[in-house]
Amino acid sequence: MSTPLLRIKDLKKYFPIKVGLLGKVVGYVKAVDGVSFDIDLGEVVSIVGESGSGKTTIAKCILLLERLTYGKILYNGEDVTLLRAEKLREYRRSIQAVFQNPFLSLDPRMNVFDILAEPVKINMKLSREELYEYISSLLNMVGLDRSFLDKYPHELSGGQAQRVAIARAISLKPRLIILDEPTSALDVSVQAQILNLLADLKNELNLSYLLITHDLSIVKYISDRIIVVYLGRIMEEGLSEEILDKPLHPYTQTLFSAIPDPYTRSSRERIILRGEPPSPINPPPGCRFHTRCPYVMEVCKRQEPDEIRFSSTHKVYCWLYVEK
Amino acid sequence: MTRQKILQVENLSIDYVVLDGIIKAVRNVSFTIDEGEVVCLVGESGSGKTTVGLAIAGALPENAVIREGKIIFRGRDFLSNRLKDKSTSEDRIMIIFQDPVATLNPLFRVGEIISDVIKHHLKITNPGEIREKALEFLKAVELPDPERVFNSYPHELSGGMLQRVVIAIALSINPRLLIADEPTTMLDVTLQAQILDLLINLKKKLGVSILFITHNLGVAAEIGDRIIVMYGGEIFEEARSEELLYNPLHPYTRGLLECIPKTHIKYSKLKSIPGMIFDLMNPPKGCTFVDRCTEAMEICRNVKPQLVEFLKDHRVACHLYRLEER
Amino acid sequence: MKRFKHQKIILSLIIKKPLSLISLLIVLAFIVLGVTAPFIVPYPEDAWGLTYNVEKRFLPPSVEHPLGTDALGRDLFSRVLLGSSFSLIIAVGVIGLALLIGIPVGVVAGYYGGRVGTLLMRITDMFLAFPPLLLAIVLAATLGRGLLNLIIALAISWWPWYARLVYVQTNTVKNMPYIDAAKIAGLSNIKIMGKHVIPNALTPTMVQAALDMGSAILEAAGLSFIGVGVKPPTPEWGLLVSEGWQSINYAWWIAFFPGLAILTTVVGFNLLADALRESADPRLRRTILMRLGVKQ
Ligand SMILES: Nc1ncnc2c1ncn2[C@@H]1O[C@H](COP(=O)(O)OP(=O)(O)O)[C@@H](O)[C@H]1O
Ligand SMILES: Nc1ncnc2c1ncn2[C@@H]1O[C@H](COP(=O)(O)OP(=O)(O)O)[C@@H](O)[C@H]1O
Ligand SMILES: [Mg+2]
Ligand SMILES: [Mg+2]
Repeated sequence: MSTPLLRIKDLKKYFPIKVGLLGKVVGYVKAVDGVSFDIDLGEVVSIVGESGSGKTTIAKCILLLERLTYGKILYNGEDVTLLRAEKLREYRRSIQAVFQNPFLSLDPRMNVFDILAEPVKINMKLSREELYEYISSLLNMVGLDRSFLDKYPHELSGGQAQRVAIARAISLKPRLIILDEPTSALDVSVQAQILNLLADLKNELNLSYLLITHDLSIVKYISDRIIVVYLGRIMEEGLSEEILDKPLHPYTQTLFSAIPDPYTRSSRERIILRGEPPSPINPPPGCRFHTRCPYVMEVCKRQEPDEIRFSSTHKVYCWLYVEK
Repeated sequence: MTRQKILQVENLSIDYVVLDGIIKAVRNVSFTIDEGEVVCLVGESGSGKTTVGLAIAGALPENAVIREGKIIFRGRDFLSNRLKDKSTSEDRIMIIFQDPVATLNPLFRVGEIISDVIKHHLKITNPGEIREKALEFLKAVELPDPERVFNSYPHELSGGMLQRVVIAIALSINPRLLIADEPTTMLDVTLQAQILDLLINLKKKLGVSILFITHNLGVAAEIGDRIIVMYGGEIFEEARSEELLYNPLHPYTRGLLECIPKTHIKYSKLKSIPGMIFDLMNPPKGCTFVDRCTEAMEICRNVKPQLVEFLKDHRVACHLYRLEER
Repeated sequence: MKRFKHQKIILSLIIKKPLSLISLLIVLAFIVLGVTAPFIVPYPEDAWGLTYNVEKRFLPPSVEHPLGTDALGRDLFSRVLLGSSFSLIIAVGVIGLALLIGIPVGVVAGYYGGRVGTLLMRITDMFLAFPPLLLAIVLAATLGRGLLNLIIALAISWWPWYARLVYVQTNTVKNMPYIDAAKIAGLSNIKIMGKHVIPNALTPTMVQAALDMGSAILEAAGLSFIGVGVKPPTPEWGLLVSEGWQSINYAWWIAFFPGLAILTTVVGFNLLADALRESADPRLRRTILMRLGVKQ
């Protein structure tokens, strides 16, 4: 087996809850609590789950914006927390990100040229003309033209601003781009444009994506593998076809039934999830989903289910599938 | 079955005055809402949906000017008074917004906020009675543990719960028309499904009419009895939900439908509507969608299509559909 | 998505509202007069208080002396006019000095946080615990009269407000996704602070500071009035009012016109501040709930 591009091993991130002047720690927010997965070169992996399930925290750990509490992140087999100097810079260049709200991820005081030039200037040696040419070519790749160079973010529409953010993400020729809810803040009509653009860029530049979303309906257009998370734990994972054709975990099923699809309005049986996810400070014992699960059994409340494999790629963590 | 019309909007045109000039945000919009009906206003950002909602609620910002039109609520045109004082209250109309956090003052507990409204509008003074009423409304929006919510500050509640609180406050004045401006856009799909479900239940239970504003036709189909498609300040198409879904006429409506990720189709590339909205300060002379339309003809550039009832109960403004060719 | 320019809306609102327009004109006039006064006063020697003329004492307003003369026979118009320069200097000096202390404290505490941050904000809170005007009076009395001492005393009572504002803003900006984006791009901490955090965190503070000038002028006048501000014969408005106060019964104009100048300027600044605040936060969403009597 070849080494994956990125391997996440038993990742945990606990945020301490501090009180008072001296910052006494009174507890932990267990945002990510033991998550493992791989991303291969050229692969698109989607992480799906409600807000608060720890998706963004996973992304921040990979981007080295947060320190891990436990676990390892291996890049081409090397532990990234041990990388130094040029290797570390190379890692940072190779992993880029696009965030949810483009208006918040672009500095409002900088124009498009400066926004795109910032990472390029730091990481590549280009003359002024080369820089200008390179940035124009980046804009071209995301479907904008040179006239945008001196516009400010507030002069752009949501879709255009997100294109600029994508241009910035590809500017350093990365291997992996983390897309954290890249279309959640956009109109549906624009969402389609952005997803298509991302799909095209992936093929053109041979990129890997880690797509983070709460909306299962968009992942099939782009992803190879889907990981469903809930309260910092993986509930189900598998190839896109496997999950989309046959969602096994009750949580995955409810995520599906929540998608507003006009053409299945009457035929679809809706499972509306009641209530909100419990607090990650004191996650429920046993299976974390049991407090909201329509099929909850006694055992679910006591013991966390083991991994059940339905194929070499399709795994689910649920007592429903444990043979008695 | 003919039902009483609760709201009639006739020929409504609204401008925003800015330094550069005048943004013609809403132009000649007419529609009606029946008693107990859910009407959805759908369109991309900038199509003027919020402006229409605010006008009906009497909450337009300072720089808005209602150029012409009538808003007749329960048989009374209140716009004539409104022109003089934009903040005249129409207390049976209530509006809720996309961002519940911005609606609730962070300095007060949920209970204090809702009690205040109840005191004002139901003219109840007994604190015990007010509290009981407040808890009743919090229960009506299916909040788990209303007691705890009553004693919480807004920042202690999640987005989904806050949106329920806002709906509870809206209900406490016993509105006949509820305007919901993208109330689920900032929420997860699971919470969105919960809120839509709640609104449908409330409609059934209380008979309140709802004007639901969204940019997602999928969401509109989920909740709406009737759907109005807006683009650049104008109505492009209007029909009952099923009719609009299975027989969309306007190329823009078809585009919006194709944008929705489908669950029942295996795999396909997602369709999108290329291009973006025109400059609202200088709307094109003919059809405003012409530059983005795949079926544009010569006439579209020069002549503005009128909104006509092309099929029964199905209005459309597009040169592809002309009455004489029917 | 918002595609119209924020500043333009603010400006258009100002133009739409006559009261805001008037306040804008007052503030502009104050600044222009403050800068040009030393060069245009009709009686420079009177204005600076270098001479006195016993024969011309207590003359009521006339063509020659539009605002009359004071107890030492000096042209009041010249003195009030030159007073605008002093008020301008005081306003700019106090606010400038307060920013000079407040900004670094707020930025460091907000961006780095931790122990140092907590300590800095504790000190700030300590200053904030004193009533600011009282603190200024005590300081001014301790330092002694004089323009520079007045400015220092006021600035010391003023900076904690800016430190707090900058601290909150920095904290907000620091958590914005565009800061994460800059980190991912590979910028160093120092560069991120200089290029992204400080400029974005300071904009609201600078607006606030510009609008605080009215209050600075008022407080300075107050201090001068009670005798702990500038030294006579400086034509500072507060001092002029206090000088005119003694003869208010038979020469009302000596106290009245400087007082009017203070009032106009301060009201002008405050109205402008209100207008800007209102249009920056139209509270569109809240109108409805407000109408319902919801606490806002
Ligand atoms: N810096 C932080 N400090 C404390 N708690 C945090 C922090 N960041 C995230 N959390 C908490 O961690 C949990 C997971 O958050 P997040 O990763 O943002 O989830 P998602 O992206 O799936 O919505 C949430 O309960 C959130 O409140
Ligand atoms: N207060 C305002 N001042 C100036 N222009 C505005 C204001 N509010 C909205 N607009 C403009 O009016 C148009 C319609 O806006 P809106 O009604 O919010 O549309 P929607 O809700 O469909 O996105 C947009 O072009 C928007 O930029
Ligand atoms: Mg997130
Ligand atoms: Mg809107």
